[in-house]
Amino acid sequence: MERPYRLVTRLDSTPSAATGPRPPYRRFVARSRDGDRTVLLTAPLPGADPALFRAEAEAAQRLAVPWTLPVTEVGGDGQLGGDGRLGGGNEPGGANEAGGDSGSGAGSGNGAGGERPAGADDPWYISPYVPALPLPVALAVHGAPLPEETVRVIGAALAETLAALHAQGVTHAGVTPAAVLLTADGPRLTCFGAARTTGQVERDAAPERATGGRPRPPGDVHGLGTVLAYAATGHTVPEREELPPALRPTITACLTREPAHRPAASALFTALAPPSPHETVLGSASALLTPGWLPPRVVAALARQSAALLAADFPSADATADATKDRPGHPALHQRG
Amino acid sequence: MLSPLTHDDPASIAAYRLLARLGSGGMGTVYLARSPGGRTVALKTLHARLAADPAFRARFRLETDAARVIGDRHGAAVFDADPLAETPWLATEYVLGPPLDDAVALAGPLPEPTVRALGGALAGALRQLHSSDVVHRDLKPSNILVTAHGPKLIDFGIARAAGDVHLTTTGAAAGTPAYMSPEQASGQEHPPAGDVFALAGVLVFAATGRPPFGTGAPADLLYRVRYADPDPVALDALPPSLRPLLTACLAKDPAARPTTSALVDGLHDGHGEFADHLPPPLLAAIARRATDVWHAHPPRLPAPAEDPYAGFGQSGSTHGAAGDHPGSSGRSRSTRSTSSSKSSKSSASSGSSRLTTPSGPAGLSRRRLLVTGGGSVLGLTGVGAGVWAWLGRGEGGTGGGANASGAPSGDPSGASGASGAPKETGPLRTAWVKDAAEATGSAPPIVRDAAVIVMSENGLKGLRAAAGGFEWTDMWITHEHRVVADRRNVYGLVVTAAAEMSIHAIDPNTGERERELVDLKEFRKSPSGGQAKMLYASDDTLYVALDPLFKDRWTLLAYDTSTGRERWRVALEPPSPGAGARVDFARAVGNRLLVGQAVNDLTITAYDTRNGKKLWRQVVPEGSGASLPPPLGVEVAEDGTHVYVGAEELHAVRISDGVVIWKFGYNRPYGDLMPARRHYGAPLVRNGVVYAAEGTETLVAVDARRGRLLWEADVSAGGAPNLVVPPVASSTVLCLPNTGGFGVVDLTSHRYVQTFDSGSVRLTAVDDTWFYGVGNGRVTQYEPQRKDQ
Repeated sequence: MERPYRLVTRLDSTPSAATGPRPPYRRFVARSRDGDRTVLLTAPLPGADPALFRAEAEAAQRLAVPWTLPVTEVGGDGQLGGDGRLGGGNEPGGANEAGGDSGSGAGSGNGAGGERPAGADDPWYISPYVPALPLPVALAVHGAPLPEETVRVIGAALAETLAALHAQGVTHAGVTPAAVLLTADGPRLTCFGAARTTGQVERDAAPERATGGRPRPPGDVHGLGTVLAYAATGHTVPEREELPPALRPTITACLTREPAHRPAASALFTALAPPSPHETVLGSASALLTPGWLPPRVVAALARQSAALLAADFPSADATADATKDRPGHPALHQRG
Repeated sequence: MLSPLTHDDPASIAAYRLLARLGSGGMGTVYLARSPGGRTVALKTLHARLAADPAFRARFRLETDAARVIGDRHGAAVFDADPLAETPWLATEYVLGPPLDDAVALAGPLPEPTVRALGGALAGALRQLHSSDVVHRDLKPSNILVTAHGPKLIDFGIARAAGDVHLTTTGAAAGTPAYMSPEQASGQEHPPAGDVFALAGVLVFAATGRPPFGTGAPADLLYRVRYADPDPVALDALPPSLRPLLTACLAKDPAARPTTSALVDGLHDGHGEFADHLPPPLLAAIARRATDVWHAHPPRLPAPAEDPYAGFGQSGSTHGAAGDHPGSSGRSRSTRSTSSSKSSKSSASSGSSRLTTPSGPAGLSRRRLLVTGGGSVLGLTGVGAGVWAWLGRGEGGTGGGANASGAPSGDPSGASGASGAPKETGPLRTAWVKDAAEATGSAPPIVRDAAVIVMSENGLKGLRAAAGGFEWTDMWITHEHRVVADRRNVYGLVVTAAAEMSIHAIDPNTGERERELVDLKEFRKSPSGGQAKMLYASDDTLYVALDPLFKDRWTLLAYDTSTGRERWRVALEPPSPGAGARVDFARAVGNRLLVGQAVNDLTITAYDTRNGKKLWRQVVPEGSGASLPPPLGVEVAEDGTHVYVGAEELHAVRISDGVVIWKFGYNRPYGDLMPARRHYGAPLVRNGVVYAAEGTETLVAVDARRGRLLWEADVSAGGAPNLVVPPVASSTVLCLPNTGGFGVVDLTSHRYVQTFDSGSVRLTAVDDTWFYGVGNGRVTQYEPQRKDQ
């Protein structure tokens, strides 16, 4: 059966720095067979329960909350891995980590080390592509913790997302630094349900989870605290003094051990969205997206990723009918100085 | 940036499928296109008519070669090209950065670090180019794209390399001489040092927003470039540390100018990354381009199924004015340049009563001008200017005061019912007319279920849409500000003889007051009685303004429409100190309630619909000039994201935060009312396009997201557009109120095609198909003309 999508590149940098927060899923930029649609494709890590992953993806498809990427298609059942492998030989070698500083130049089809997928039944889901940097990649290209203004926008937007989810009685259960993407239009919270899917307690999870608790809204708030701490300092468990003074009380409150003492997401939004020049009471974090909310090098990395993917070209299906048998779909990525 | 494809753009060129237009100019069109493997490119084509000329073909080929020479660091990467194809084409990367002129328009004069980084990179690009024996020859802000990683040079001015005088005589290569070198201006060879001269001019512009030798007619500029010193105002505005170097580059003697290497060293020390030196608005524009290109592309503009107006059209769609930024698009075949259509118009209207000179008495009131302009309908028609309505003059054009002048008309005034209706030629015909002398045209009809509800001097009236007979009258609801409707319900504010006020839901079919929602008894305390306005009804909230003491101290109240309970109230602030705290309109959009106060300028204030908290306030200035009626912007349009206001310029205000995201109209040609205070009429927004009357002769269609001109139509055949009343559209035609009634513009051909001399009416469109009009003592339904009629 013909695969509906061909992988173009990974969204996350090769985890060269083993200390950097890693996403709970594998995320790719992929392209439809007809070359028309470029998408973000998310698939589980090996060891995850494919049925749970699929169930979470289908749940995410029905959610309408701000600052998330819409899930437009859920698939699996071997469609993607027509060659028997998701990405096996299908994924271009690690030469182009989207947005990252790239260039590990790992051998073809071998870029992700031991992360080879389980098999043909790997489920996956699709969101329309927009240029996006995972938060850890954004810190890497910026070369430092992010400015307070950027952290504040991320916090206000994700608080808005969580408030909307919690109001519907839904827990995200996957709020980690790597789950946050930065786009020109604001942050996006991805990896919905990751904690439920993997069945493992994620790194830096809320303390109550370590003792076997189910993911609950206060755990999401703790996750948001971790995200903000990471964005503001570069690590998920910072010393209190490292945090920017203006954000210190908010972030510290999120990270409180006792779940009941953490603020509600809606209260976080109010704490993080500051009054605007015209004495505005803000209804949405979108009002914070003023020019300059993203640091220059993050904008440059988004533009570089966008340009590389605009220029990425698969040989047309006819011309490579034979080649696809052993070495399918190497896109010619346009390299720039 | 991205404009829709037009109906006569091909589906694909070579293997590339076309997605959108990026721009169009004298030489050809640039498309956004996609390869079968999904690579997205900028595809530049040469007009077929030019491709037949070997000289143009040669130039196109040279341009392709030059783009390859400069490479993808300082230029757009060339992916593919076929200069020998029937339509020659060149596929390059789609560069993610605005042209420098747009960048300065957006961010203002650029800060010194930006100018230095830009200048250093451009000097480096020229150095590389010159080392390959290529001279750019046409360096100017619009040919420099500013990306996050450095500037890129595009559009080489290689006309002279083709050795062809023909190019300039056709005007295809004639650009602004503002950045020419003195050598070029005197017709000599343009040496590499000529590029240095041009680069300095570009940097002066980047740093100050002013071209190095000012602006003006090409001949003046050529003279100044050759003989005069640079504009002292621009030089004074330069950062002092840049002045000596740039002034040296502007030396008349090429040998006296610094080399590109000296410029590279003198401008930038190379620290940091290029993006570090860019101001936030410019970075935001780059991020926007990098992101927007991935969004869905606008659908192709529809083709006219047939062109029934061929040969009759008063005006077709036109490109933007000459020199307009690429990005405006139009249909090449049916277009005329703005200047030629303007001149044909004036000749057609000479001999009519139209005022054709802008030197009319300055004190002449707007209203008189409009009235005078209205007379020209007759004049125009009389000289056979080819208007649909004239061609379609029906044998049954009888009766009706509007036709007393004997003017041919498409409107069968006074005819009632479909039977016996005279033949009307055009996209619309009159389905039925109901005479109702007391019907006021102060507000558009409300159409609900099978009922048409209009305000009359005798109270609110309902009639059956199908038959046009009046069914009910409620004499206690007496003013257009006392009725509002949402998608389900109609609400009326009842004021009894005892000045008791209450709000009721009304059955549109019977006029029965279904239930009393609110009893405004607290406003009875005032001895003088108060005044009240119904402002807006959303699906669950009713917004009402009350002025209990008749002192223009209005309070805004929100009521729950299911319970009638008051949700919140807020005292309105005056738009300016000392003025009354009036309210002219309110619209709820999402969780924002927009309240408009029109006292000369239009002040828009946004409140949170949930609690009445003030969120932002924005003032759209009416503009300069003498006070002329009518007041600005009581009718605005919104599409959920932005609110659009007609003023001296057309404004788009973002609803989320009140920021003006674009203005349209700066530098547009003015019509007969040269010093007009209010140039744009009340707008309509529909399917991503904002429509508004412009001045006295034109309808413009503007891209709602970007504020770029999509097309324009000459609508002067129907008389001057009414700037107060917004247009109304169905899926195929747009009805534009004018001095004599309204005119019909075909949304496919973009032509003015029909006139209804109905007198002043307000129209409502229903189901994208029918129009109901009220005014001038009549209620009328208009329906699409069937093809066989």
